[in-house]
Amino acid sequence: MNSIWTEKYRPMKLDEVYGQERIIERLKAYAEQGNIPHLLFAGPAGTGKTTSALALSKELYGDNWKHNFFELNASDERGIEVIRKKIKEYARTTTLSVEGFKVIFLDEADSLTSEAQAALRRTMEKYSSNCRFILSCNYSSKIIDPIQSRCAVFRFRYISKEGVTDWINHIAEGEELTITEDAINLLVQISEGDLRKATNLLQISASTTDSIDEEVVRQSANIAKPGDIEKMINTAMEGDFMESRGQLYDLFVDYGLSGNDIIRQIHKSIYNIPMDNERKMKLVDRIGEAEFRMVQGSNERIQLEALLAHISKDFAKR
Amino acid sequence: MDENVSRDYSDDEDVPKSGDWTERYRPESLEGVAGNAKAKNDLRAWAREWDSDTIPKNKAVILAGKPGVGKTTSAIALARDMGWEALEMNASDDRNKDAIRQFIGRSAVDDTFSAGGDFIPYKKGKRTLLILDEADNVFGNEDRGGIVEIKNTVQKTQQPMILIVNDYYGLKNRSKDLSQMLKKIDFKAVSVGDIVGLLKNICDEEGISADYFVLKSIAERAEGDVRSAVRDLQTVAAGRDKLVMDHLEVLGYRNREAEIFPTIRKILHDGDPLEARQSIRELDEEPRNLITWIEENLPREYRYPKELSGGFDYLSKADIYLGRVIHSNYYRFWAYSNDLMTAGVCSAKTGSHRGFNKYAFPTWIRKMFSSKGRRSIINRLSYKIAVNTHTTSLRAKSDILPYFSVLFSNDEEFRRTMVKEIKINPEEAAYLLDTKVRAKVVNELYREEKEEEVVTVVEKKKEEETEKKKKEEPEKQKTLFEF
Repeated sequence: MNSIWTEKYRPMKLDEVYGQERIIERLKAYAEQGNIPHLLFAGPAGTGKTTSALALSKELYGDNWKHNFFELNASDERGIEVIRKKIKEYARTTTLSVEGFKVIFLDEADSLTSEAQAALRRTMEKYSSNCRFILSCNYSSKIIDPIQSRCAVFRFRYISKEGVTDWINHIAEGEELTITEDAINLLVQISEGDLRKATNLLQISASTTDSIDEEVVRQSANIAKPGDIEKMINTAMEGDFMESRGQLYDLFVDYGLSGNDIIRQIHKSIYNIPMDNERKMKLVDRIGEAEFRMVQGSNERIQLEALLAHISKDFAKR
Repeated sequence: MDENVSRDYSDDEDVPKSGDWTERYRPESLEGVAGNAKAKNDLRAWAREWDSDTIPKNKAVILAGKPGVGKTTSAIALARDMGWEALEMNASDDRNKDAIRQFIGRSAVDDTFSAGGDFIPYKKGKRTLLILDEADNVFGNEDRGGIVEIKNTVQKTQQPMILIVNDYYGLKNRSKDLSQMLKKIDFKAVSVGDIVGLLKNICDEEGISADYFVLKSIAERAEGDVRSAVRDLQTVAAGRDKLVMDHLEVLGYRNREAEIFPTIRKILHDGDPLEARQSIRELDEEPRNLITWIEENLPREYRYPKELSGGFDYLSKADIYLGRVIHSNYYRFWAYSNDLMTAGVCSAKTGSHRGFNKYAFPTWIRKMFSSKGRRSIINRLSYKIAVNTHTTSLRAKSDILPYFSVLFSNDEEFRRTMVKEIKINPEEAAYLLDTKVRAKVVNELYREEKEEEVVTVVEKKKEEETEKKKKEEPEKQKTLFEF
């Protein structure tokens, strides 16, 4: 085992993409025509947005795809000016392909502010004679209307249980692993339709043994958690606020998580905590309120602390 | 406090640490000079022009800036980085006049003299950098001879030359000719963040444990003057193994904790909301800083779940108004924020107010400070992974890094491949393996590489050069909140 499986098994052709049949059918039609409009891929992580963009380009350009495909990550570039400059530099170089256009893939376009998106829109227009943009985002509603109206929008859904199962079997075959049905079911359950997560978890499980059962998957999922959110919530419920606050600080600092990551995982984790359903829903309401305040406020840490304090009062274990 | 003074004397016997820290910790390479990224880049670019056999257009540069921001240090460090000899002279000292003249006379014939005066024929010789410090004092001289002398020197020199001044415009007014012959490089005040970083390094080196807050106070007071910050640090820290706020009193520092704690006590302990509200009027502190102090100490005083949760609810609302200030640029909202974090928090307390609670400096700030190195490793690592997996650093950090580190620890083959393919460096490997850089397992990972190095020296050199170029891209000045 010597590579990252998400890369090793990343589909090269549109036909090999799992779980997004309808979208793939449309994209194949584009590839056959040899032309594409601007595209907007919206959907959760690990559902094939980047893979589809890469595969589409490979089919459009064949071996030359690397010269005609340019990948940018909106959240890693330092602001819209840097993005525009890079696009400008890339768009300027002449097109070699017979198609007459090049593809610019902009990941996490929804991390741009609406002002930055407006600037991006002008850039898209300026270079539309020889460039096609593929934007990817988690929520299409965070993309401004003028951009949406210029793009063909594709909504990527979570991969179905069957889709994830097929994918796991596909890798297991390639790596000559034996894996029990229970183990596959648990992988499907934990990964929640996110193929990247399923692949990573499978690779970790396989790094300890060639024959994977449910227990191996369970242990792997436990060690690969980015910090222990459940423990923090439990500590707050036991009434030790100071300790749970210390754990919160650790999540921020030692694990480098953002407030957003943390609240998202708090939300997920409460379904693992034994509690009657009515109280659980009250807690969901309070978690949602905390996230709302995080968006409105200036300091995620204080909002999360307020949530922990609230949990230690209203959701104390008796 | 007194115990430390007595320790001073006892330490003197076995640890004869002497010398001026501003000298001892003067960086040897430009890399190590704090702050002024742009000026350092300009200097490097100018020096590189001297690499060829021809003399560049700008034979001399002038470094302008306030005292203590690193002008002389940068000049000396530059010479060292370039492998040049350096001849440093104080221009205002009359005794140096002859020496300068002599130097120029000799260098004009295209040969080089070492600083010791030995003759080295041209082309075999290294360059010698002439550094004229305090050059503005010559210009200030009533005798116009001084300025003419310098002009001649710049005209005749066949060697790189750096003039250093505090007041550039004084020079420009006196001699336009001269100012036109010189390429100007500005040295700016060094940021508090950069100075704190430097002071922390010195403390580590000296084995002194020092609080973030203490170093920040020293840095703030220096107002961008690195030399005075280092000097102050030596004054208060030399001979101690722990530096605390009290020690700064000797320099006339304000003790921030002593100012803030009474306010915290009014808010969290005394139980009078209006008094609590009033108490922050005299305290000159931004709301976003104040809220961190209240946040830290609230659970130390509010022990019942009801008041704890009520108090934090007010803090949460106070923070929402801070957010609204940011989103709307409407600063009136600060007033509501202040009321909620003082009177609001105060009114949430229901229990009795007996007993004395010890308040604390914000744990959060401390934690951010001490984890600086670790966090930057995580960020670099996430970026490397992101680039290789078609995703963003943020996603790599939260969704891939946890898996990656498990694989890296579990699987030796994976480890070796990743070191080669995505260029995981020893520091990052140590982080992933949760061990020290010097650990055996890390060493073994890079042993083969070292052996290969011998074969591919040429390639390595090329790589180094590109690395070097990368490093020279201007870094941002650090702000305090990056700690």
